[in-house]
Amino acid sequence: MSAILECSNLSKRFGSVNALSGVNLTIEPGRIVGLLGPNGSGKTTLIKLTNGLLTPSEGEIRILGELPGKLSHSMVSYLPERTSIPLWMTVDQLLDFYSDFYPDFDRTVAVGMLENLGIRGNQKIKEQSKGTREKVQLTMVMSRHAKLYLLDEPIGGVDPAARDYILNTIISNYNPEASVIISTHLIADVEQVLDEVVFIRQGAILLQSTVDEIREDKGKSVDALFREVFKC
Amino acid sequence: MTWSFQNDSPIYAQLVNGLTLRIVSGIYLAGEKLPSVRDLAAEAGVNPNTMQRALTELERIGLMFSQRTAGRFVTEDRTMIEQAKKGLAEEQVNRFLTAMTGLGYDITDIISLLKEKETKRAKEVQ
Amino acid sequence: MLRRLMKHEIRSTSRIMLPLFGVVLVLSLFVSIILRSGAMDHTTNPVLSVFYAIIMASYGISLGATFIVVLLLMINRFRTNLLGDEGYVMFTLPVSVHQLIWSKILISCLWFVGTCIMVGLSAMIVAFDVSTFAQMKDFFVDIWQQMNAYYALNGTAIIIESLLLFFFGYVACCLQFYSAMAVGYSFDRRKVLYSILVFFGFQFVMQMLTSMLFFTNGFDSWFDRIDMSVMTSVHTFFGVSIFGTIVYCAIFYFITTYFLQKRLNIE
Repeated sequence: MSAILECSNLSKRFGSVNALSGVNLTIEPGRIVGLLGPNGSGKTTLIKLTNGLLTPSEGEIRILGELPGKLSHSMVSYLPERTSIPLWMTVDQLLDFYSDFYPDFDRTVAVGMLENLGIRGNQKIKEQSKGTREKVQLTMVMSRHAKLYLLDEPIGGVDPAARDYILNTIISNYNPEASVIISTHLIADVEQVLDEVVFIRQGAILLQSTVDEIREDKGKSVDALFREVFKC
Repeated sequence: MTWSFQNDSPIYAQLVNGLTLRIVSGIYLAGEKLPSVRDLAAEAGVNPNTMQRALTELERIGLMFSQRTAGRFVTEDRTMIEQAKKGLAEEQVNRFLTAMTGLGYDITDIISLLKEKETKRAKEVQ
Repeated sequence: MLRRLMKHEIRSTSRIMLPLFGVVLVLSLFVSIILRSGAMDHTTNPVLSVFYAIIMASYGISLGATFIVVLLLMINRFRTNLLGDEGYVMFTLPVSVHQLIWSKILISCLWFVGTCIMVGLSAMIVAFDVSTFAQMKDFFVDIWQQMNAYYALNGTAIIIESLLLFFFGYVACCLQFYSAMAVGYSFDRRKVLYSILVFFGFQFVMQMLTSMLFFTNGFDSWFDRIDMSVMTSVHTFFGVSIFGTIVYCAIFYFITTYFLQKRLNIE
């Protein structure tokens, strides 16, 4: 089976700044991968490149063999680092929106999740709190049967209960043919959920390994290793 | 019984231990059908692949077996479970002994300490 | 997918346009009543006459405002929906950049046409009278006949040509704004300022090009050399204008798509 994501010699420059330089990365299907690095290390740039929101300066990126575009968008479910669902919509209108554009969107699943969260369909997104909006967008993203889920800082500013909800959704949504990439700098919170981690520093891949390999070889958690590697 | 994980050893190994403990303590009975990998993973809050690895290991040891269509079960072999229990007990004893030797007690001291504790406990019960 | 994009575009814009249409029509009704009853001339109450004046004035303003809102909405939808936070969602939909742009243009056209119809409707409410209506009809029929008979023009062709010119003119207008924003928002900072500068830059360049084209000797002599009847000259005028507008559209369209595809820079 072909790789879900494949970056070859991928570079991105902003002016004279190298946001990513020569990244080679392959993500196999059925993995939950942590993309770990401090702020400004290139995590978001990599995710934006995968989504075609940026164009590579050099090299290329392929999602199931496709360059980022219309076709890859139908296979990737993306949670941006900031809430970006249209605020003027009601939750029901947002469900219409996702049903219209994504054939793999499972409206029943989404409605069920929203009910669990106590979010009503006739609620205007504009009138919701920041945390609720985040949950609504995550619900939309996780209710798709996509091949690749790209979650950019999904647990950044949420409370512990919401964090557990998010991680639980990721686990129960697990599909051996799909992969999940979670970018974060809060490793302790997600470590158990990951099977693979990618350390990224100053736009370069520092390490790609499984969580248990790290624990077995180094006798310490990924979180501890991360703190050691990225010590200020 | 809730799950918590140590930082110094692989998660799958801790899952093997935790599941063994659940079997010997009777939370999962001999011959009982186990929940799906995904449900077990969700309950423990761990990656489904890691849970799968732990279950495969338990099958290899013989504490679990899977049937192609019906799912995965706890072994019906009670001597096997007893053996596992003994194994866990031994591990605890070893840990205890290491700690006590560290404090400077030798084995006879330890035995008399344990006896003392037992008579005290018997009196309290009366 | 274009149809679905348009559906949600209508959902978003109708929140603003429909209430606005409602306000204009209600004001037309008021104005109509005031005018017909002659209330304005008869009243001696100063408060009431001020009230009438305000209604009349706000009616006039609302008519103009509707067109301005159509334009502002066209700009703002592009800015917030594509270049703001919502852009993360819009540019990761399984649709092409072309579909995104056309859905915006077509729906803005729809509201523009809708506003024209609404203005006509409002005029009918204010001035409706069986005889005026009949007179209006006679007037247009008269013009039509004169065009066809007297000037030997093909009325149908001219109407089609004007509609085409109008359509491409509006598309060119949208695309000039879009391209300016697409370029302006590709900068890291001062996106709005750059957009405005780029807009006026485009305006300047386009005006230069147009005037160069029309006032160079080559073009003049080309016109002089051909001895054209009134009919051909009118058709030539339309033909050249439509062609020119389509060239405008193509240039701005290229700039917009290029910057949205290759230089997208959503914060």
